[in-house]
Order: sequence, then C-alpha cells, then structure tokens
Amino acid sequence: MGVRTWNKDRATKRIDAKIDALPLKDIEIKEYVRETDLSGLSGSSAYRVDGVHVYADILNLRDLLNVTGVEGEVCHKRTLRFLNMHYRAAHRIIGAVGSIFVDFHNQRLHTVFAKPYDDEGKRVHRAVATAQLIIDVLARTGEDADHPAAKVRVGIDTGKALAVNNGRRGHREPLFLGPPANYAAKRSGGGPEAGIYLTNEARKVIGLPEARDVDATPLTASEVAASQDVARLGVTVDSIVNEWAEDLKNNPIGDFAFSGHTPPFSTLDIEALSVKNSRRQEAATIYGDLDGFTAYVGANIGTDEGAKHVVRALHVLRSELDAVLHEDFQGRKVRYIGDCIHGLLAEGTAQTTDVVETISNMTLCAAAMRSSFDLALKRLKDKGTDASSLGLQIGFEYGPVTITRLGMKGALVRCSVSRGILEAEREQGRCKANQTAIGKNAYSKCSHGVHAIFGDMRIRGGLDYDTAVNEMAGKDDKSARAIKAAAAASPLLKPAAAASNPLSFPDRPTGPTKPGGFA
Amino acid sequence: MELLLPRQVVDLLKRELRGRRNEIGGVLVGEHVSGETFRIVQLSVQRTGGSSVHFVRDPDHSREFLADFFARTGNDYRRYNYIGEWHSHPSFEPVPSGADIKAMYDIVDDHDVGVNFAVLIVARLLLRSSLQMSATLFRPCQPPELVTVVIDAGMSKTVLTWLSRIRDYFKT
Repeated sequence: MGVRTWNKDRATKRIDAKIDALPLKDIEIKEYVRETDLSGLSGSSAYRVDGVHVYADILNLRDLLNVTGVEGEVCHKRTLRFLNMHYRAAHRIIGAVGSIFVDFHNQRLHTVFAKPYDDEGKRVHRAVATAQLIIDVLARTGEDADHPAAKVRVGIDTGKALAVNNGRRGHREPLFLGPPANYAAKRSGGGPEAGIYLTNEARKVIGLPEARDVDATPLTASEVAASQDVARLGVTVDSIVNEWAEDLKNNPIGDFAFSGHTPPFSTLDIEALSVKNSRRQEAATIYGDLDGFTAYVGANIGTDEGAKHVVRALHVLRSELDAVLHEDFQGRKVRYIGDCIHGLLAEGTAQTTDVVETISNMTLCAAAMRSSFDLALKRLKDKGTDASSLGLQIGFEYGPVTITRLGMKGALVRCSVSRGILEAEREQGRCKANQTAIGKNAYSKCSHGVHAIFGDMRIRGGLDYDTAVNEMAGKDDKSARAIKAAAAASPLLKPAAAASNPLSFPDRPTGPTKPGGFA
Repeated sequence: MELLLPRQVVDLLKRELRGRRNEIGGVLVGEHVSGETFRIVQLSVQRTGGSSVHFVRDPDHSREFLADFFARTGNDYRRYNYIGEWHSHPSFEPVPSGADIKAMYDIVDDHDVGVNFAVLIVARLLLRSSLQMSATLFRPCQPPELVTVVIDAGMSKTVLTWLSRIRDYFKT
C-alpha cells in the first residue's frame, strides 16, 4: 500500500478549480413547469419543484441481516435477493403512478409527486394512495421464510425543493434538496412501526388535524381510504403483483456470485457490477453528512441568488468530500444521498483485508474530509458563497460489505448493504455539529492510536487531519507514522496519492450521457 | 500527454468547417497507443445544435457513432474508447471558453462516468484552408493542461504549437 495522505495545497487547488468551474452567472435557477424533464440536468441548472416527497423504508431489512449469527454469504445473498425482489416491485409501482423516481438507497425508496400541477391536495392524496399501494404490494412480494414480505414505513411531506443534477452515470434522476425531502425521510425513519406518517404540513393540506407527535401518528385506515377515493390511481395491487411475478418468471434473479476486489476500491467499477458479478469482502464504510443543509436550503431557496449559492455550495462541498475519499485515500463513493456521501475503503488483498490499516486510513480519511470541508467553506466564502452555517457529521464502521447493482434490467440501482453499513449510517446519525463517530466493531479492532482519538464514547468533535496524524502517530499508529516519516524525509515530497492517476481507458464503453453545452 | 492526430482527421475537420458560420462539434474516439500517448481515431460530426456563439452536443447523436466504433474495434475498450469532445469556434479564437471548461469538468468530475480524463479540441478554419486548433486535457480535480498535438501522417511529425497566449490563458 502507498502512503495515503491529505495535502492542503492540493485540496485548495481542487476546491478552487471546482468553484471556478461554477461561476454564479452560469448557474440557472428555473421554476418547474408542466412536463419539465428533470432527467439529465446539467451541473449548473436547478429547478424549484413544488412537490410531495415520499420515502418508503423497508423495516425488516435489519432483521434479515441479523437472522444468522455470523454475517456470512448466506445472510448477504438472502438480503440482496430480498431487496432485489422489492426493488422490482417498487419500480413497477412508480412507473404505474407516474411519480418521479429519485433513488433507492438500500432499504429506502425516495419518489416525488409533481403532478397534478397546481393542486397540492391531490398530490398529497396521490402520494398517500401510492404509499398504501407500496405497503400492500410489498406485503405480497416475498417468496418464503428466507425472503419474506417487506414491512414498510412511509414518510410524506410537501413543499418546495430544489432539483439539481446528481451526477451519476446511468442514473439521470435529479436530486431534491430542501425541507420536504428531509422531513419525509425523517418520518420514514422516525420509528419501528409500519404505516404511513405525514408531516403536519402535509396533514394540513388534506384537512387532517395536526398531530402532536407525527412519528407516532400513522394514518388510519379510513384516512387512507379517503385519499384512495380522491386519488383514483387506476392500478391495483393484483395487477402490480401479477406483472411482478411474470417479470420474475421471465427474468429470474439468479444466484448472487461474490468475489473480492483487490484494494484499493478506487479502481472498482461499480457500474460493471450485477447479481452474477457482485463484490463481498471486509471493508470500512463511511457516511459524511452536511449538517444544517436543509435549513440552509430552506433559507435560500426563495430567491434565485440564494438558490445559486446553494447549488454552488452543494457541488463544491460534495465533490471535495468525494475527492478526499477517492483521490487522496483511494476509496470509492457508492453514492451521494442528498447532501450526504456514502463510501467504502479497504487496504490489503482481495482475500484478506488488513483490518488495522483499513481502520487507521479510514480515520485519517474522515479527518481529512473535515479539513477539506473547512477549507472549502473558507474558499467559498472568499468567492462570495457564505455556507459557514454548515457542519459535517461523519460516521464509519468496519465489517463485511456487499457491493452490487439490483433492480430492473436497464435501470439497475447501486446497492451496498451489510450490518456494518447500517451501523455506519447510525454512527453518523448520532453525531452533532462537527463530530466524527466510529462504530463498535471498528473500535474493537483498531490501533491504539485510533482508540485514543475516539475514547470510550467512540465520538470526537472537530477531528481534523493534522490532529489525527499527530495523535495517532504519538500512539505508534503505523499509517500515521508512515505519513510523518514521509513528511520528514522530504518537505516537498508528494506522496503516492498526490500523483494524478495515469491516463487510461476503462474496460467498458464510455461516452457522454447528457447534453453538453459549449460556447 | 501526447495526442496523435491522423492527417485524414485533419482533412475531415477542414472539410466540415469550411463555410460554416455556426458552431459544430461532436465526440472524439481514440486509441491508447502507449503510456501517455493517444491517437484520435475518428470524430463524430453533429452539424445541428449550434449557433455562431454556442454549441450543444446531443448525446443521442453520438450514441450510434460510439456503438459502431466499439463494434468495429472488437469492444477492446482498454485500447479503443471515447476520448473527449470537439467543437468549432468560427467567430472566436479556438481556445476553451468558461462554458467549455465547465462542460468538460461535468464530464470528468463524475467518477461514475468511468473516464479519468477527457480531451477537448476547439478548432476553426482561417482563410478556408488553415486549421487552427487547441487541445486541452481535463482531469478530475486538476487544472486544465495544454496537450501536445502531433500530426500523425506516418512520416515526419509536425508538432502543432499554438499561440503562446493559450499558455498564458491557462497560467492566469
């Protein structure tokens, strides 16, 4: 393994190049109007969309992952097949009701209703009726005890959000930023009980009384029935399930075939993965989430000028976090989830991950992300975009991971799921402001240096790169000491990660997927 | 990076640019010759979608061109693949504009697209026969770099050196 390092000058150049590539005058903010195509948005345009956001969480994913004592291949195969079946069903539902597909992030589906235009009430009714359809269909798309039906909790909110480019090949769906997307997600993740949960904003729109605790107030059967009467979706549970079964017969899922990827993950081509070509090995998973971004969007979405700053800040901050993971630490982004980045990192071989080194490097990577984040905020402010209200919350965990693509042929969705991945997200969730948290498993396997940094609470505020290197090296951490040694050997030394990747073609067809505007 | 440009591609460019007042463009496909040396094998020509100051490259237009190229090269993607973009500047100096730079970073910044670099060629024809062009390399998180273009005529190599102001442009 080469020494993985972060370098302030290098980061500054990257950030400045990104900011300069997004001058405010070139960013366009538009109002969403009838039949606007939100797929394939350019990186410099965004739409204000008045819509209803639906998040559907499959609650029993964790049960499925924990059904065996050891998190082995059997458990992962069952989980991925289970998700694949339900992805296919949900994909059919979205196609039938005409909502906008945003993403499937493991157990969580996000879709948006922008129609009917100019009638928020009908949009909410339509979202509720669709939520019930999802619950009813996914209750019937199980196969057996190993691949059970899904228990679903749905969160719904309504309002204006900003639709921006999410920048993923083969995924032309937009990314929605702002309060309704965030609050719908919070309701779907707001508890262990199944059902449909509306924010008070959405309840008010369809004439329901305000709930004192929205996360404990699911819609009643009669409330759902009232929405179904208004929505008249025109599709039935039976028709969706029959189509799903027919598709499963004609396009069977097949057996998952796993192999390990030779680290680093930066060379992994996720778009080449499929059921028969999946990856599985021990690795560290990281979630880095922009704290306060929803409020930042909410405060700025009202004016074109404000919205332009939101678009610029998002793209600069997210791409820099990705660059630290990918360029500096040779990890791999799985996806952006709104204002959050989900990534993987491993050191060692395809067969044997170097546990201690992986966790040390992930600790350094997390710290470098914070240093780059702070630097990016400063550079943005210097160039007119004040996003200083934002924070960065980071959680990571270690353990077996899977990486594959699931769903409908031609529209496969990335999926990287395991106990450790769910834990990494949970660790990020327990952070406040500028904290970094390490998962229990990683904490039990890490070096003394990493141990000392996080302490018994496994959480640390303001952990930046210099702090991490110095404290870890002081406790004899191998990775941190290598960085120190390299720096001492030559102040001008550009470590391995500083060099650009050699120019080469990937082993798959490439080419533009979106219109390119040149002048 | 060194970019080999076959004479027939130069001739094709000249033919296509002759007499056009609107910008035209397309995609470039190339061969990885060795190390940091690549050869432009062919380019697609999209004659619509341009004005005197702007050009929008349509991905649908290039899709068939790329599919045909991949089939003809035996799907040997590591050797033959998409290498970048080109368009004309009939009214301006053939150097990348701010919009061009942004468009190229949009392409290379997305790791999921799978390219770790892309080349932009901007060209114009002077006096109906003199081809002026610049070639610029874009890599994720790196500043643009000027590319040395070598006319690959199978005999003596002619290095195209562009006006020093192009270098100045990237230095500022």
